[in-house]
Amino acid sequence: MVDIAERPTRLAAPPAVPGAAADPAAPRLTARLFAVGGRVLHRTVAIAALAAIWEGAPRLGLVGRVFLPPLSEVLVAWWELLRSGQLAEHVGASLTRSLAGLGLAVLTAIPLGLLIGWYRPLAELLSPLLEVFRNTAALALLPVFVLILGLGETSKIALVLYACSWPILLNTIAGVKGVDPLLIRSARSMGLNHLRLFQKVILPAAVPTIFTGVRLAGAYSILVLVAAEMVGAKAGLGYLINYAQYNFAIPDMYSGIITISAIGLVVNQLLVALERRFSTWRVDVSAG
Amino acid sequence: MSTDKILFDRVSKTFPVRATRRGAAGAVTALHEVTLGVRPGEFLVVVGPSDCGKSTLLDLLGGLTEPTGGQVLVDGRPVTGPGLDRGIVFQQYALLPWRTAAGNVAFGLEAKRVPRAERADLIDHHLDLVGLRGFADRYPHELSGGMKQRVAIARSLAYDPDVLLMDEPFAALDAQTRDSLQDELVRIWARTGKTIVFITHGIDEAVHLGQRVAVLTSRPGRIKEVIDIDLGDRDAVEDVRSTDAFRHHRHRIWTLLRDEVRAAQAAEGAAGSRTAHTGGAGGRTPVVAGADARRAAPAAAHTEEARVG
Repeated sequence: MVDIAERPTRLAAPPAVPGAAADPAAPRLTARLFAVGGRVLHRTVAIAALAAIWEGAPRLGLVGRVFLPPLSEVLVAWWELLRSGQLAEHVGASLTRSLAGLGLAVLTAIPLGLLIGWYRPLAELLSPLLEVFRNTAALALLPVFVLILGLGETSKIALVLYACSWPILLNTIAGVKGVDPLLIRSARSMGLNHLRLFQKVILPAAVPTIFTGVRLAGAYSILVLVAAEMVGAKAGLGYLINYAQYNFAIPDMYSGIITISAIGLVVNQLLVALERRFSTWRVDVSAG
Repeated sequence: MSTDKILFDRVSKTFPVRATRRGAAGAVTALHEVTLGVRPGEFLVVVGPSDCGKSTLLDLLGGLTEPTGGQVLVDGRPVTGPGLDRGIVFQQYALLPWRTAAGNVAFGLEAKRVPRAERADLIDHHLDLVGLRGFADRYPHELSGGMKQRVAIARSLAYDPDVLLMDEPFAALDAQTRDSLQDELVRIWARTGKTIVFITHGIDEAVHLGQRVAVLTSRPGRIKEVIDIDLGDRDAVEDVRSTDAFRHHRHRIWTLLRDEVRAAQAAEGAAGSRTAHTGGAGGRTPVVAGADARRAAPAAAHTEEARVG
C-alpha cells in the first residue's frame, strides 16, 4: 500500500556499517585505513603542536625553565605523583566533592525546575529571585559559604551544588516550557489529566534539554571545585596545585593542572555520550 | 435532532482581542450561530475561505474550547471537554517524536487505559489498516509526511472513537501523497463506519471525500449551504475526479466560495492596512494555522493565538 514516494528518506541512505572494514576488496580497505589515519592525524595535530612547543620552548630558552619546565619533566613528576599514590588521593578527594555536589544539584534542581516550568504562578513568584542569584558569580560567594559552613567539606560541596544548580534549573524550566504546544493539545484531546500529561508528554519532551543542563553542570562542578579547594583544603587537585606553587614544586603544579584538564575532558565526554543516548530523536529531528 | 450524531446548535464563538497601540481591545467573532447536524456514520466535509472559523468549529467539537453561545451536542449530550469518543487528527501530525510508530499508536490506548496485553494486537491491526505494516519500529523522523499522517490516523482509530475529527490533515502533504491518502481514508471510513468531520480549504478534496459538504461564509463563519455529493459508484470509474458529476459539484462549491473569498480578501485588506504593525505576530502562527496562516492576516493572528492560548 505504500507508494515509492512515501518511502522514508532514511532507508535510501546507505547505512554506515562498521563491518564494512571486513570488505574483501583490498584496495578499499587500504583507502579506508588511510582515511581513518588521516582523521586521527587531523584531530591530534593541534595537541601534538602544543606538546612540542611546551617541550621545545623551555629547552631553547624562550621561556624561563623554572616557571615552565619542559613537558617531559612535568610528565616525570606526574608519574612520581601517581606512583606514590598522592595523585589518587587528590583526585579521589576532588571527584568525591564534585560528584556529591553535582548529584545533589541533579536531585534538587530537576524537580524544582519541573515545578517552576509547569506551574506558572510559582515561576512568576520565583523568577526575580532566580535572576538575582543566577547573575551572582558562584566564586564570589565562596567566602560566604566558608563563613557560614566552615572550611570543611560542607562548604565545598555546597558551592559545587550552588554552581551546578543553575544550568540544570534553567534548562529544566526551558525544557518544560519549550514543549510543542501541539503535542499538549493532542494529548489533551485524548482526555489526559494534568499528571498523566506531565508524565507522558512534558517530561519526555524535556529530557534532552535537561540533559544539556546536566552536561554544563558537570563542567561547572570541576571548574568551581578547584577554586574552592584552593581555600582551606587538605586534599584535592586545587589544593595540590596551590600547595605545589607555594613550595615551588612547579612540575607538580603542572601535573595537577594536566590532571584536571584530563578529568574535565573525560567527564564532558561521558556526559555528552549520555546526552546523546537520551536524545537521539531530537538530534535527528534537527538534522533533517 | 435525535437522528444526528453531532449537532451544532446555534453555536457562536468570539475571541477577545488584546489591545494594540492603534486599536482598543475588542472581540473577533469566529463563528456566528452555526447550526449543523452530522448523521451517524457520515463523512462530512467543511470548507470555507481562510480563517473563517473552520478550525474553531473542530476545536469546539473536540472539547478543546467552549462556545460563547449555543451548544455542541454529541449523541444528544453537550460537549463539556475532551474525550476519547472523539479523535482528532491534526495537520501537523502531533506525533510524539521520542516514540516509534507503534509507541505513538499505543499512546492513545494508554490514554484509554487499555490493558497492556491487549495493546499489541490493536497496534498491529491499526498500523496494518493504514498500510504501515513493517514500520512499527520507526521513529517519526524516519517517516515521510504521508506516513506520519498515517500513524496519526492509526493512533486516533486505535482507541476506537465514534467520531474522527480531521483538521486539514493532508494540507501539508504533496499532491501525489494527498491523493493516495484521500483514497485510503475513504476506504478506511468504509471499513470502520466512523463518523468523520473533515476540515479543508481544498474544493477537490471536499468533493472527493464528502458525502455532504458544508460551505462556511467568511468571518464571522456561518453555514452558507450544505451540499449533497453524489458521485455515483466510485469504483465503477477509474478516475473519479474527471467525471461530470465531480466537475459539477466542484464548480458549485467553487461558485459558493468565490464570493466568500472575495469578501474575506476585502476584509483582510482593510484589516491589514489598519493594523499592519502587528504583522510580526503572524509569523508565529504557521505551525498551528498551517496553510491558512500563509496569508497571515494580522487580525487572523490574534484569533489563532487566542485559540491556542
